[in-house]
Amino acid sequence: MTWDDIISQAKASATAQTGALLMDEEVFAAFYQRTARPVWAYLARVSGNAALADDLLQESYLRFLCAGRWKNDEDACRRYLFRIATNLMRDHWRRPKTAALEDVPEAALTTDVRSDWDQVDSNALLGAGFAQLSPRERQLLWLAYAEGCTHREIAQIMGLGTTSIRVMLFRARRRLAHLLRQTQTPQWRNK
Amino acid sequence: MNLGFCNKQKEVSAALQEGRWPGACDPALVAHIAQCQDCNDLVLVAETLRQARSQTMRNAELVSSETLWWRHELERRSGVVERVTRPIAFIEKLALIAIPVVMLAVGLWQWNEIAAWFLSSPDLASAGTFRWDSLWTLASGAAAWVPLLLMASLGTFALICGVALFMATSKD
Repeated sequence: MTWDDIISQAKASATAQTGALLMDEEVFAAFYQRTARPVWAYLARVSGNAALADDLLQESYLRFLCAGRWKNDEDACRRYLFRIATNLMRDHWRRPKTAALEDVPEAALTTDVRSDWDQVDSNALLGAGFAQLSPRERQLLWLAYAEGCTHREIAQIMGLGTTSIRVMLFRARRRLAHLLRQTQTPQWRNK
Repeated sequence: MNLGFCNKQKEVSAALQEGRWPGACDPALVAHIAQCQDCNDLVLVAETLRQARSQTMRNAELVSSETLWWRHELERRSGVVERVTRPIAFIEKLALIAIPVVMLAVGLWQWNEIAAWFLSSPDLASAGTFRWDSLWTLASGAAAWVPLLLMASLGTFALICGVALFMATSKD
């Protein structure tokens, strides 16, 4: 018995114990092709940091693969992926920032959030208005209107109660609309 | 804050999601949106976020799925290797604790013989002189096996600890 045989047997027994339905590389590649861009857009817009979105995107997919919760229902997998991404963002914000100032590269010391978006959004559609919202409001609005999630799906992704989503969404939407009208072109200034 | 939700919001949401806004929308609905603050907000926010999503997705530069799959397989293999070698690591730690304990026990058990062995050489007994060949004389004695065994074990243990410490602290 070689070392590789032992490892293969251990992998097989671990899979049998968890009862996980694993995906193969082809299925994962197709799933990644369909879902990676929306997830990245969600991470990038809500966090306001494209580099952070790159890291969190990879971490999200790795955790998704490790969880082994692949099902034939792609919508459920997609929602699970968004949930992982949401939790990773939350963990990132909660983590204490202990890096010494000398260790931080100069390019990272910019205070202009929009400068990080020069490569991504030259039109700055959302502008500074979206950045003024709280992280929770940004998540709610993006999931509801950019991704088209229902209130129940948003509640599952964010770990909130379904009944509170409607009110929170209403308030966030009103606030963003007000901020957008302050910066948008006159065609939107109806009220 | 007035939270009276407009009863047309579902209709407006459906029109937005189906892409009927504004060209293929019912004119009455368009007129309503122009008058209703909530529906106007909804259209503004939804359209802006949709456009932002499309633009952001177009500009995304993503890592390949093969890279992620490779990382996943590597982590999975590392996890399996760690689980398989866990009993070996446990035995190693146990041995590192057990060896000095056994040496100490043997040393205490045979303390009289060890002390007598050291003091049997006139050179070692006198504090003023010491010669290396006196150790050779002692080692060839009949009662030398216990102290020799202890010294050899101690030396080997010290060597292994040194190597282990070096490997643990060296940076690759």
